[in-house]
Amino acid sequence: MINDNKLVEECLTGNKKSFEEIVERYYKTIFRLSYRLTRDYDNAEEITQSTFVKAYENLSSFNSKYKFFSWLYRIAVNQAINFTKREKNNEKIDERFSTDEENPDKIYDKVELKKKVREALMQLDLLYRLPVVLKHFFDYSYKELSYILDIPEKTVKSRLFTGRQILKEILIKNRV
Amino acid sequence: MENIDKHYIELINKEIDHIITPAEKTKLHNYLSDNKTAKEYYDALIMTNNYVDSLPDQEPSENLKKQIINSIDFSRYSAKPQKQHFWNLLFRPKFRLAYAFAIGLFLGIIFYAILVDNSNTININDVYGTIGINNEATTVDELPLKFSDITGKIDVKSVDKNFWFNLDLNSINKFDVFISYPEHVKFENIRLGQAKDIEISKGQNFIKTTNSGSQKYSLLFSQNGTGTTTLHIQIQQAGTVLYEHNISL
Repeated sequence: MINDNKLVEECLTGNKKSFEEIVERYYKTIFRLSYRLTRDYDNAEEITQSTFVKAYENLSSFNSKYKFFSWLYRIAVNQAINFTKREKNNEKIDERFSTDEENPDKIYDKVELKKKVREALMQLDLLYRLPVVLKHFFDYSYKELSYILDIPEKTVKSRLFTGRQILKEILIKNRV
Repeated sequence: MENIDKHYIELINKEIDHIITPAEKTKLHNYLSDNKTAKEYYDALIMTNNYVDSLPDQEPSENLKKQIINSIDFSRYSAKPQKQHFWNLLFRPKFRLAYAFAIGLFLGIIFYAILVDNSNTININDVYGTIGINNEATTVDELPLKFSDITGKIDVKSVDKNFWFNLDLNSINKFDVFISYPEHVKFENIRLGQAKDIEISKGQNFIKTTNSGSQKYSLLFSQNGTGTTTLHIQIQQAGTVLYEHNISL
């Protein structure tokens, strides 16, 4: 498998297929990130699309000493932040989710729980939601988070710990 | 949270992030076992994170990838076709060998001209001339020769900035005459008198003639600058130096 940096080099020489390969590798992950940050399917697709457009436009500025996917996620995070600022109502919950095949009562409980957790997550300020989502769903290290969010590592920890704390309080308040 | 030491809040988060060391873990759980509030806080935070971790992923629509590709302007980094095509054509693999050969040939010619050419045999017809010799010339030196099978003499005469060697030589076997000279001296010409089958070659600041039988000829030089000019004449036969002499002008 060709590494990301090599693909970027090929893109810069006009190789369209190389960028298609990059999209193939990361579009689902960028979508999942965008969805977790916005909780809206259409918005998440829009953010994903604009992330790759922005990435392509700025490919020549990519510094190969950093991991490509970290750089891509950084763009996605910024796109999500910009989108959220434009869309003032960021508490819209999307009902499209799958459930396990179990008895109706159990399914309902699980669904309710997940709904409450999602709602709680969306009630978090983006400042805290970002590190929580990136840490929990993408398992980035503090150092990688520091690069993606463009904040010091110490600030990453502070926001992450505080975000978890606030989330806990919201869930308790919502009787989860 | 006000009853919980900040250090232990950090340890709790480190445990959630799976980066806690065994020693730190022991320290944390010892603390939790003695602090009920901290233990409740710990349990609630662990549960919160388990709920968050349990949220399923969402998958994008099947069209999203195509949508993304269609929205990108790929002309941004596309190569300039004509220029690239020309250069690609010029440097195609099969041409590179030809270029390498041409470069090698060129360098070989340069090398040959600089190093090899200096010891080339001069075509006597290229240097033969009809420069007249002034009768008011000064005799610089006269060298009688009699050794081995070689007999004869060499006169050195000069006028103004020109000087010449008159060689009158006889031998049965071949021998070589070397005349070496400094940088400011230039070999001008050979005047054949009664010489035949003479070989002459020019090197870096020297002239060599190969002689056998009866030979009579003159070697003409000119010089720049002032001051004393010293030349060196040497006669060799079969690789052995038979005679050598310095001439000062």
